[in-house]
Amino acid sequence: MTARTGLRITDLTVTYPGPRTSGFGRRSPITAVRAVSLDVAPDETVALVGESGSGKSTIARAIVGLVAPSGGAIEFDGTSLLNQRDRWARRNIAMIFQDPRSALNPRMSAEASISEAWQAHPEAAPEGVRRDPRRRRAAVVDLLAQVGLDPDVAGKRPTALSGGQCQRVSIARALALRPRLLICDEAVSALDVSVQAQVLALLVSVREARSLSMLFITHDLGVVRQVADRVAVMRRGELVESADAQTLFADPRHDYTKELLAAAVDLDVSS
Amino acid sequence: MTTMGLVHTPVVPVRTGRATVRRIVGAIPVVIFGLYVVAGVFGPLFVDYSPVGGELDDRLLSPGSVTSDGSTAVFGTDALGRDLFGQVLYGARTSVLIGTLVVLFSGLVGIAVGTAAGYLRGKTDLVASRVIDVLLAFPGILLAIVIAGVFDRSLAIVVIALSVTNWIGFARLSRSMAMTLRERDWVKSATVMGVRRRRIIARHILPFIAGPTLALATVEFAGAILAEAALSFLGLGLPSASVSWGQTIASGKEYLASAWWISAIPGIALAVLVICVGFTGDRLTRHFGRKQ
Repeated sequence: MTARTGLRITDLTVTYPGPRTSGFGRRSPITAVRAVSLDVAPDETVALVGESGSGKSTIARAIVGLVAPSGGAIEFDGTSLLNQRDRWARRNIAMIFQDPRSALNPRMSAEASISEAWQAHPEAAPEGVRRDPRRRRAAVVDLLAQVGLDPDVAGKRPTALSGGQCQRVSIARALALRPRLLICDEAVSALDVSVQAQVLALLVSVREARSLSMLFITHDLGVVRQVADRVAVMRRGELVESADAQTLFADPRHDYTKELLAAAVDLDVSS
Repeated sequence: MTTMGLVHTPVVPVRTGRATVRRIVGAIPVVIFGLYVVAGVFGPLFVDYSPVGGELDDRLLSPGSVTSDGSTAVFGTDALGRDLFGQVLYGARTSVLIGTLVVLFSGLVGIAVGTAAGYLRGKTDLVASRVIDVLLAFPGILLAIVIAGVFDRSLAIVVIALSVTNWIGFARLSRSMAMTLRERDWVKSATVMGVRRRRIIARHILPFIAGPTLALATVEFAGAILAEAALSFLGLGLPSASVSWGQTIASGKEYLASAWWISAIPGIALAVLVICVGFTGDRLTRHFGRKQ
């Protein structure tokens, strides 16, 4: 058993090959994330906020191995995540995507999507689910109940479900392997406001029930206020401020954070 | 009282006459294509025909004539007195068989190469794309003629000669689809979850490639049938003991003025089949286009 030290990102830099300057010209690389250091302690929820293109989603993608960092280190519970094929990391870090519909294969039922996780990691599957269809259905229904869905959702495909239901199925699938870190990449941004509140409440309750660490990526400061213990603010690929949620909202230090908060207040007043 | 009538108009739209006609007309090519397949598969069970048989007394009979043994030659006979109806029927079997084999063979190779290139990217993609580019620069039928000309005439050689360029269409389609599919969130979430690559391709990519590939397969099927007829016409296709429309058309070319039916009837059979397969393909393309 590895020690629980949480997620530790040190000097992470991610560059993308940019567009060519001319037909045969060299690519001018674009630095999406520049020397970002960020920790998420066990049981802690950190919100990563910033405008579009600030590099927050790139950090999430680097953590789960969808993009390769060009520099820095990412560790989870003392294990480096830069070895992309590490099955241990795949099992312990789950991610929830923004668009609830496209995150689920439209040709697979909720049950098939969820049990795929157990097929990939037999060691983390409840007993018997790989061979016994009845046990598998029971385990899926149990997970669905934990995210507030009826048992009949198990047999349905994403096209027959609402956006909110799809996102709950995604959350159920993410929980199927009992991960220690949950990364939510704009997980509620695509949902209606009322559904947003329900899914947020679900995430908070799940986090408490399972003592999960959470990295919550969003541009919505209203959402941050409800879930985050700590907030990190990003701008143009750099981390500009990181503080306790309460401190940050009460007394922002950086000019950019002040601007963000002011903009959010304006929106609150106008709506 | 007329308002009452309006209120009670049925909610279900009544199918108009024009829509019904359009539906029936749209189904005709599919039905004809089906008839060819049925004729090719079951026809030879009921009609006896031998490419080495034939009475010389019966040579060059026009369609509908009575032969020396008392039977009617519906499509007439050729220069060696062989029944043309039997040739068309057996030729349908050859065409459908070759079309199917070429599509199966080139489809499997094309989908495998294209999906691997589009999903894996990197060096695999680079190599596959260059091979495709090079093969695209050759005229397909020319390459087939070279291959069929170098080796002895046989079914396997014809299938290979036609598959050598036919797989490219499948590879290009599945490559481009795999490239867009791999960026979809469900593929990414499976990757993040640690689902194995082979399974991701099988469960999250291939099912979405299957439909459009089927539509393309009909086009390639028609192309393969035409190419086989062309090879046989040139004497490079199947061995002369087998029956092929291309051979029949070629055997009639000296009698075009006196016995037009020898070339014309298999030619019409070939054209109708290719047209109907094309329309069937269009229908499938529209169907899967809507579904995407």
